[in-house]
Amino acid sequence: MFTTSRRNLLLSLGAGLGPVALSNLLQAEDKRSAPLALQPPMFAPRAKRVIMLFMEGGPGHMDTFDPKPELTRRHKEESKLPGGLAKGYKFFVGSPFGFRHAGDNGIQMCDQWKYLADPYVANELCNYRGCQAESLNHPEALFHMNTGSRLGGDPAIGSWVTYGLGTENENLPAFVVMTELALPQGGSTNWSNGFLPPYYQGTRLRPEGSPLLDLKTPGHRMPAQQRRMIEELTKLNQRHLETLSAEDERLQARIANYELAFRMQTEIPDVIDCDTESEQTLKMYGVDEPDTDAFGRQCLLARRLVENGVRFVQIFSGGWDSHDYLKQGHTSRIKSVDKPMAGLIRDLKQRGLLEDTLVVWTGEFGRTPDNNKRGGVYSLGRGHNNKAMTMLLAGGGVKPGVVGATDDLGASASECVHPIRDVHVTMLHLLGLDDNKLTYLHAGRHKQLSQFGGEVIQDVIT
Amino acid sequence: MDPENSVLTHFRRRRLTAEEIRDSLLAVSGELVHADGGIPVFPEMNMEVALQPRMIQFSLAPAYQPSVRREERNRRTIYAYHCRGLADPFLELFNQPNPNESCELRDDASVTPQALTLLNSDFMTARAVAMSHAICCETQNTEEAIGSAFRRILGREATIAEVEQLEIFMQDTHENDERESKTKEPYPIEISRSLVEEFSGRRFEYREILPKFENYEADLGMHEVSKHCRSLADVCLLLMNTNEFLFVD
Repeated sequence: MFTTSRRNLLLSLGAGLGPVALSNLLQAEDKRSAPLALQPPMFAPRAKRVIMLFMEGGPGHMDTFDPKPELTRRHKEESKLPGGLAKGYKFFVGSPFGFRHAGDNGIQMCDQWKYLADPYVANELCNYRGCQAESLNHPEALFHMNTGSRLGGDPAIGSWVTYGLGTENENLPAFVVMTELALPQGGSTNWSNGFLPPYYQGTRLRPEGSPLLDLKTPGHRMPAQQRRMIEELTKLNQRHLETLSAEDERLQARIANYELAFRMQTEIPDVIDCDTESEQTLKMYGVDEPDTDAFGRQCLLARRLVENGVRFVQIFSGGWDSHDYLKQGHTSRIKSVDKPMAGLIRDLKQRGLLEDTLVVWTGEFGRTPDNNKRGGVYSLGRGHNNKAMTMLLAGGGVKPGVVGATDDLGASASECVHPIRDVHVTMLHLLGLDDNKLTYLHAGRHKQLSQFGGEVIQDVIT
Repeated sequence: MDPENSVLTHFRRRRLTAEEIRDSLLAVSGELVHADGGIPVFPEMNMEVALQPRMIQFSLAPAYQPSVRREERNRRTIYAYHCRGLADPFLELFNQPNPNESCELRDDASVTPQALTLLNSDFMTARAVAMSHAICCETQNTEEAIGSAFRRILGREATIAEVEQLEIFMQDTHENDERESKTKEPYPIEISRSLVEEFSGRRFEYREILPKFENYEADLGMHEVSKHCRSLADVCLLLMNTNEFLFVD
């Protein structure tokens, strides 16, 4: 008897419809072959996508956005504060920077922020001062901020978001990570899919060489030959399919993968190539200026990626761990991100993207108001502080202004105090996702980003 | 009988695991070295990953250098040194579990980067060339060569239609081959590193030497074999990319 399944029929038509149509049909039909298919949010979202700027090492809140005049008055006086890493004699360290207001919403910035302080940009910012980390060590604190667990190995927030919402462009990775040449502490665990299926892991665009491993056709093969090889391979695989008694989605998914691979080979280099941007735009991000080029290009690329449907972009910028030489360290760090960040916010705002793009700027923890002597010398730096830190939020549903506070010395958060998990729950909430419902059954338990539930920080939301 | 296989009347088709894929590729290309036990070996790894700066507390870890001799690095994957902070991207891509986690069941997802790696990676090129070279040494003509590739990779004879398809493909590949001049990048014996100093925030640079690449036994390159052998290598690569090879029935 003549039998043919709908799928086999579609496949046989596939060659005539063209490979793109074939893969679209397969993907639309089948969640397994399209785990990143677009999914509706659970309720009306305020943001559709996220750009997270991660300042690795822990920026000093009292040296960036949270001025502490009392600390300046006590500069080099003995400190009896508990907490932090340092033992023995400790002394207070006043911030080496002056502060001023920026914009009309009460945001304060140290005088090193030149571009971010422009009211056009500053008026979009929410400075949240109430978050408390748990770990005092870099890798654990990084894991906590990125995955909701200090232990590392759980899915990253970007993985949860793409798991919940899927992607708007199947030709690009849904969750993109950019780093400096050296990975941040804890490495790729910071953007791991953890126990979620591997489709949801962050894809790191490599800062040098090939942006994705093996993206390029090898030098010894012409592009026409690559196209030809994919066609020949599809023929071989189709013939194999015909010999089978039952259909198998996995085999069909693999055929579609080669078509998508070929499209990615052209689309990714196009999106990554920033040369098509106007000179004005490049300038706005600080591209081609020695201090800002690296982070500026990444911020510009972040905009290009979200514009092209990428769901979650994360950029890591290291060097904020100023145990000593605080003034030099933070001056150079702020300089490297100030113009690019301001450029990003401005560019998103001008293009109308900011209203549904959530931008988050954070470190893994804050810094202590005091430090200990090194070799008998007052070393002007700060230790790790898991009781206070500072964050900037902008765009997608965020209410501009200052939320929360730290005490007079910046030792601990004192108002609107929330743990990291509440920040995560808030980010998901803005995206239209309920942390308690965004779960995945693993090791006998329905797991979630916040681990065991959290609270939306209503004060940061419009 | 049992079309859904609900009472397990027949074997459930499965994709090869990461280690099985690597081992099988080396086996069909004739490069796999059988030996028991011994100290871990260092297979070749994607060079970009092997040499990438890898942060460990306060410093950078040394670069990954593969074993110098082919007979060491082409052993089964089970004998490979497994570094927790540096997964082999090829194995990771085919769902070798994260070494920091226990894994009750491996995923066998088909993701697009797998297609990119199976078509474009140095590892795959090296296997295809090695295999093609071996076949060229023992066959007289294209048809025989294609037959040999099928027997090695898929464990069966090629059908007439398959031989016809691939003969035309080989011929076209041969005619359009302009690969003579393309040579492989030499292995670096020294690389420069830069790092931001923990306390001062100052950037500094240093050189790292890679002594293993000084006397490295490199794999046969695409540019080192004949045109005929190169077009056959493309056939081998195609067969290594098929569902039939990557799944066990």
